[in-house]
Amino acid sequence: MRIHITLDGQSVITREGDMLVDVAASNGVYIPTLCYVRGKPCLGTCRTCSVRVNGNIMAACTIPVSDGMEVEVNEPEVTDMRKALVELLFSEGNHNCPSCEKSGRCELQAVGYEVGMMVSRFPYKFTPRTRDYASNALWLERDRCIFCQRCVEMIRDKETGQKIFSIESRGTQATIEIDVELANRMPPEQVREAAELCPVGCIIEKSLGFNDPIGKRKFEIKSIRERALERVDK
Amino acid sequence: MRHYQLHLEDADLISYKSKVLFVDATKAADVESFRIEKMASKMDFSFSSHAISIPAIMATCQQCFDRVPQVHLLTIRGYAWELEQGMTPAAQRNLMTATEYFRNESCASGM
Amino acid sequence: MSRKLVIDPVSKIEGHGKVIVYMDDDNQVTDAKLYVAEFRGFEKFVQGHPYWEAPMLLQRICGICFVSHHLCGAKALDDMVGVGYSTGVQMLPTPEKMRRLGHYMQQLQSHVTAYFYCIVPEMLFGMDAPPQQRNVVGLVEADPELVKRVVALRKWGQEGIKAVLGKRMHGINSVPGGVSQNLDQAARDRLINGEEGLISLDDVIEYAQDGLKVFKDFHAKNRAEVDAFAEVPALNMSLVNDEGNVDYYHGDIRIVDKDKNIVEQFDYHDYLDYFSEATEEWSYMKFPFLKSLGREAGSVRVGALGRLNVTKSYEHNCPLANAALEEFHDYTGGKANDMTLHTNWARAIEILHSAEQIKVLLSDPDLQKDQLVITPADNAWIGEGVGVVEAPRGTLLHHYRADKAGNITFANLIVATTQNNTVMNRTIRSVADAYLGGKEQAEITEGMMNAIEVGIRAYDPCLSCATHAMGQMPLVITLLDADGKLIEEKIR
Repeated sequence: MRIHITLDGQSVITREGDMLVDVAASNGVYIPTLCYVRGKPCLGTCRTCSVRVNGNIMAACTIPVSDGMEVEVNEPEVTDMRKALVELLFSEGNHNCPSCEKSGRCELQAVGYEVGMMVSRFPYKFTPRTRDYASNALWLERDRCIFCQRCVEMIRDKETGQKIFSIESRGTQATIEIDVELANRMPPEQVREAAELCPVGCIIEKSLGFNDPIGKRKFEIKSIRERALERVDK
Repeated sequence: MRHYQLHLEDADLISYKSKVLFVDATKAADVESFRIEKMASKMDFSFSSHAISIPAIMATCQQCFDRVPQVHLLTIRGYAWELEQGMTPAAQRNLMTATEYFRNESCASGM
Repeated sequence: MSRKLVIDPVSKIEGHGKVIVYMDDDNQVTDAKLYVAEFRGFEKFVQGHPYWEAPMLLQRICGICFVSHHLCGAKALDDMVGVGYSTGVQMLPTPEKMRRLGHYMQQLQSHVTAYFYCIVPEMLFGMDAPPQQRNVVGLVEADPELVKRVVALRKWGQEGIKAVLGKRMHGINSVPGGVSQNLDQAARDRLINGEEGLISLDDVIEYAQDGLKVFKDFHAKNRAEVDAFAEVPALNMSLVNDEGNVDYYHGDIRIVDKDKNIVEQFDYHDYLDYFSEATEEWSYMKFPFLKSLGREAGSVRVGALGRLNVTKSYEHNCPLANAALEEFHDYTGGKANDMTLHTNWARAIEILHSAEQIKVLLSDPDLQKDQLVITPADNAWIGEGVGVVEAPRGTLLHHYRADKAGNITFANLIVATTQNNTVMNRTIRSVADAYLGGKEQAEITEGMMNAIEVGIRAYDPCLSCATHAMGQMPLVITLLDADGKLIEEKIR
């Protein structure tokens, strides 16, 4: 059903039930995302896509549009709130872009640039996190995990459908874990898929890094904003 | 072009330009919001391994390349300088006022 | 009762230093120490990271000779994965030449900066000229044409580094067993032919000779002073190729004495068998020395002067540098050159050599070939690697160990400034002695301070990267009166 919504004051005609984040992109309005993968079930974990819907703050990847909806994306207070969320991720983990092999193709880094983050307003926690390198082909650099849960939900054992990644404990104790036995059964293309799916440099392929030269990395070729906006299905 | 510091090489960079605007934050209390001033070359011997002044850059440009562009300096008042802090709301306002002023000015003058 | 004189800080070297000169009651200089009160801790915080990240992280030690650190680390990684000169799997020609090109670009850039920005003004205006004049800006007024050429040279060097490593600073090109990109034809042609605002390779070769001319003029006018300034003994060390000539990227470590006799020559992988490192409570910087000779006799000099003392000649394909080298060697008649200020002569020759080698490499079609990485089988994994290169400041060593999973468990860095630690202190002592020794009134004059700075700067030390932590971080707090005499000193 065709409906009207208001997007930053502009009236937009769209289809009822489409996800707000996609509707915005189709209409040229970029909303940063980190956990969301277009075409996959929403996770709603990172909240980076927060916008104001009818006066309330909501995650745009979790909201199906409905008629008469009033949406504010680039309103200063909301914009700053999204920026604060990204800053929190940088404060909570230990993100060292200069020596990270994901630099230039890291979604967190790219979104950091998009929201105009220079430095986090929150104190850095420098949480000690241990790395996990027990599986044959993958390395978990936990310093960089943002608990988006993409890997938890979207990477599963081919045979049994079991989850390979999981999050143990809660709150500040939470850690990303890998089932080594299942991980060692992953075919090479799934290993690659997991590393590419990770929006940060947490899941990385062993012995492979810095293979793309500077200037030819994913977000150096085309920004995350351009990539989000070009996949429109008008 | 964005730098964290000026270099002697910037003399070479500006030698290809006709108009140059340097933008920097300032602590100067007599700058209420922002200030635009025309700069003149002067070899003020301000060089150290990590800093050099705009007049010295201009003088170097003149000496080495026999020409110097029209140079203006836009200084915007800031209030807090620690690394963890972002811009203060007052500095943010000053930046916006300066940007706005400059946008109008450049439209009017065709810069 | 002994007394101390304190000079602080030493300007124009990267990082901060503090000098203390020790004197006895007869106003004789008994010792001199360059204090290093900075600590960076890179060796510790690379631990626990994947091995392939080490050269990326560790190159951040320095904003000047980052390519050297990057390449030194890359060579250690080659070892770790089983690509090496001593094993079956050999590095391919394209990556090796790309790395060498980056290395010479770095050498050119670093030497041009140190030499023209800091050292040439001292030569032209004299070491006692006012500090405002005694730098590259002073040079702008005195010789604008030279400055223009230096700026153009540095810009070209920066563009060269960017073309090879992707960025002007802290770029990334080397990966274990190779490089991530070659040099395409367009980038090569741009560097060879230049463009508006970028000089050509021929200009680079021509401008690279300026430094040598400046030194020779200066030397001709001030021969006695230059030669007598801090002539201090030390062994000389450099990487050498099979012919026993300097190889800036790879080779054996060779150490020669004052008669240029070989004292030691060894595969750098065995450095721990040959070198010990002494520590002192007053400095974070260690003092390496040859085990066979002990601390005093076994300290080496590295860098431009050390290398030119070791090498017999350069490659045949760099005629200008070879001619300059021959003249340099003739000056000391077959003996090693111990004259500290001749380091600047050596540096000027190395500028020219780098430029000529860059020319050779840029005309090599291997740089456009596509075989960039060689990956040995998993069972070739060694898990330990040592890399050594001749960085602008001298022999640089990275040594890493990783566990089976690739997790770095150990890192050791010996940077050139650390190797030069003892010889720098000897230099300072020699200068201080020339100004103070036996004088009735021991006084820190402006001239003496300048001379000590000149002596230290000859080594172009990068103090912060030369430091290691040993135990608790001690603090030395010194209070001075207006005359530079010690009032109080507190030591933690």
